[in-house]
Amino acid sequence: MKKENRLSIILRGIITENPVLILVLGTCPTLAMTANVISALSMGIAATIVLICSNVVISALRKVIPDSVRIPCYIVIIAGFVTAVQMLLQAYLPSIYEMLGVYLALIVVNCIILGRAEMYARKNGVLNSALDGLGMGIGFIVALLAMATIREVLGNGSFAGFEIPFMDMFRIPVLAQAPGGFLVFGIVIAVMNRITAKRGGVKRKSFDCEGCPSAGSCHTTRCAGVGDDAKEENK
Amino acid sequence: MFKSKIKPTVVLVSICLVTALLLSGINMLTKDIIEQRLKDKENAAFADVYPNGTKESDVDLSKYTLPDVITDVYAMSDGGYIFKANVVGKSPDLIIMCGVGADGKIIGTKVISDGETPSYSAKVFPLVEGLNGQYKGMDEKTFEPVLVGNATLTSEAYAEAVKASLQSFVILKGGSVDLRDPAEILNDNCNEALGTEGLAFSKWFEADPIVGVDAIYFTKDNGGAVIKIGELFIGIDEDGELTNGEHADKAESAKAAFNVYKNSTLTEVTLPEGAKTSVKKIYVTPSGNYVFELSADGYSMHLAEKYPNVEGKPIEIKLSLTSDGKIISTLTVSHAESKGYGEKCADESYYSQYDGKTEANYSSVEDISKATITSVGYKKAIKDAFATFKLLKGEAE
Repeated sequence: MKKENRLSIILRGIITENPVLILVLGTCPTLAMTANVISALSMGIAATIVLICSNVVISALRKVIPDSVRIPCYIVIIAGFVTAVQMLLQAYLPSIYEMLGVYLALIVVNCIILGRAEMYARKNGVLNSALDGLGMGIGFIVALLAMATIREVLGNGSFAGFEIPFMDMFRIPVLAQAPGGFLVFGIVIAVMNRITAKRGGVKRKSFDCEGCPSAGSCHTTRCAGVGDDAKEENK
Repeated sequence: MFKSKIKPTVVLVSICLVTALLLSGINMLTKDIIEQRLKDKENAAFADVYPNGTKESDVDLSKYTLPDVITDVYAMSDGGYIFKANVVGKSPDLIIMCGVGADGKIIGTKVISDGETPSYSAKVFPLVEGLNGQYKGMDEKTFEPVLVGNATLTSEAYAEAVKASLQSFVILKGGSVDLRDPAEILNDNCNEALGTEGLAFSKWFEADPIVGVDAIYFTKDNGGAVIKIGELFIGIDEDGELTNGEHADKAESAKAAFNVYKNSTLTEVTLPEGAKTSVKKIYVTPSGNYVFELSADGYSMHLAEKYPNVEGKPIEIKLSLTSDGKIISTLTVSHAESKGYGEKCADESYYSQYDGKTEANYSSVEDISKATITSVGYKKAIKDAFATFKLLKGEAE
C-alpha cells in the first residue's frame, strides 16, 4: 500500500471522509448535543480524546490481539478510556460532565470510534492511527460545531450562551428542538455532498460497501466483493 | 491449540486486567475530589430545599426502619429534616433531596445527581423541583404523586423519593407508617383473618361471578379462604364457617361467595373445530360459565418474529365468560413484555377493565400508553375467545 501523506490522513477525516457528514456515523450524539455550541464542543473534544487514545492503543496491540476476540478487546479499551474521561471530567470539569450527561458514557458505542479502530487502527502504525484519530476527531468537532452554530443562532438567538441582540426577531425555535436537529442535519449533509462533488469527491452511488468512500482502504469488504479477503475467498 | 483457544482468552483477560488497573489508579486520583464535589453540591442543595434552616446533625439511620430508598437524613435546627433518597428512574442512581419542615410538609425538592434521559428529566424536574414545585406543601396524608405522561419512569421514581421522605418524617417523629409492600399487606391481612401465620395467598380467579364481595383469596396450605368486602377481610374455614365472630353482618355474603368458590370446579372441554389459535384451553363450570386460557402475541413475540435469534414469549391470559357471553373476570397470568410499557398488561388496573364487557364493547378499553403492540395483541386474544365461544355455542361467526 502506498505510504500515506501524514497531512492527508488528517485532512481526510475533516473533509472527504468526515465521519458525520460523509460517513454518517455518530449521528446520536450529533443530534443530541448540537442544541448549543458549548455542549457540541465538549462532546467533540471528549470523543476526539477517546478516539486518538483508543486508536493508538489498538494500533500498538494490533499484532497481539487475535482476530477472534478483537471486538471485545476494542470495546474494553474504548470503554476504559471513556471511563477515564468520565472520572476526570467529573473531578475537574463538573459543569461539562453534567452538560454531557448520559451521552458521555454513550461515546463507548459511538460508531466512529469502533469504526476507525476496525477500519484503520488495526491495519496501520501507531503514528498514522493517531493522526487518523485526530483528523476524524477534528472532523467530528467541525461537524458538531457547524450544526450547533446553526441551531443555536437560528433556534435560540444566541451563540455559546451569549444572546445575539437582533436575532430575537428571527428565531426559529423548532431548530433548537429534535425535529429541527434532523432538518439541519439533512441540510448540512446535502451542502457537504455538493461541496465534495464539486471538488471531485467520491460520488456515492449506493449505501453498500461499494459506495463507501473508505472502500479503497478497507480490506474486509466481503459484502461488496471488492476487498482483498473477498478476492481470496473467491479464488 | 494455544493459538486458537488459549491465546485469545489470555489476551482478552490481560487487556481487561490492565484496563482495570489503570482505571483504579485514576479512581484513586479523582475519588476524593468527586466526593467533595458531591458534598458541595449537597450543601448547595440544602439552600434549595430548606432555605430557612440550619443543619444540626446527621441522623443515625440504624436506629430507625425507614424506606429502603432513604440513604441519608439531616436534622434541621427547627425540627424539620432533609432526606436524601436514591431511586431508580429510567436509569439507576437518581438522587433527590427533599426538605420536610417541622409541620411534616414538603418545603422543596431537588435532584442532585441523575442519569436520566434529558428529554424525560426536562419534562419532570421543572414541574416538581425547587421551592415552588408541585410537591410543596404536601404531607404524608395529602401526598399525591405527580406523574408526567411520556416520562413515567422518571416521574414515578421522583414520587417514590418524595413519598419515602414524608413517610420517614412520620417515623422519625415517633409515628408509624406501613412500609410493607402491597403483597405483604395482603398476606398479613389474610393470615390474620384466617387465623394462620406465614401463608401466601393468591387471588381466586372468578370462573363464576361472585356477588357483593370484592375478591376471594386462597392458599394451597389451607382449605379455607379469605373474603374481601370493602376494607374487611373475612376468614372462612374449609367447613364454610367464619373463623371468628367478627363482621357477622357480612357473614351471609361471605359464605355465599365461599360456596361459589368451593363449587366452582373446572372441566376441560374439547376445542371446537375452527377454534382460534390464541385459545389454548377451554373449561366449563357446573353453572355453565366458561374459562378460556389464551395466548396473546404481544411485543415479545413481535420481536421474535423480527429477529430469529430472539426468543419470544406470549402473554398468557385467563378469561371467564358467562353463558351469555359477558366477561366475568380477566387475568394476565404471565408475560415477557417491555419494562415500563407493555408490562402494564399485568397490572390489575389494566386487565380488570375488561370485566363486565361483552363482545360489543371490550375494544373500548384504552390501550396501554406507548405499548400499542401489547395492547393490540391482548385485544386480539380476547376477540378470538369471543369467536371461539360462538363456535362452542353453535353460532355462526
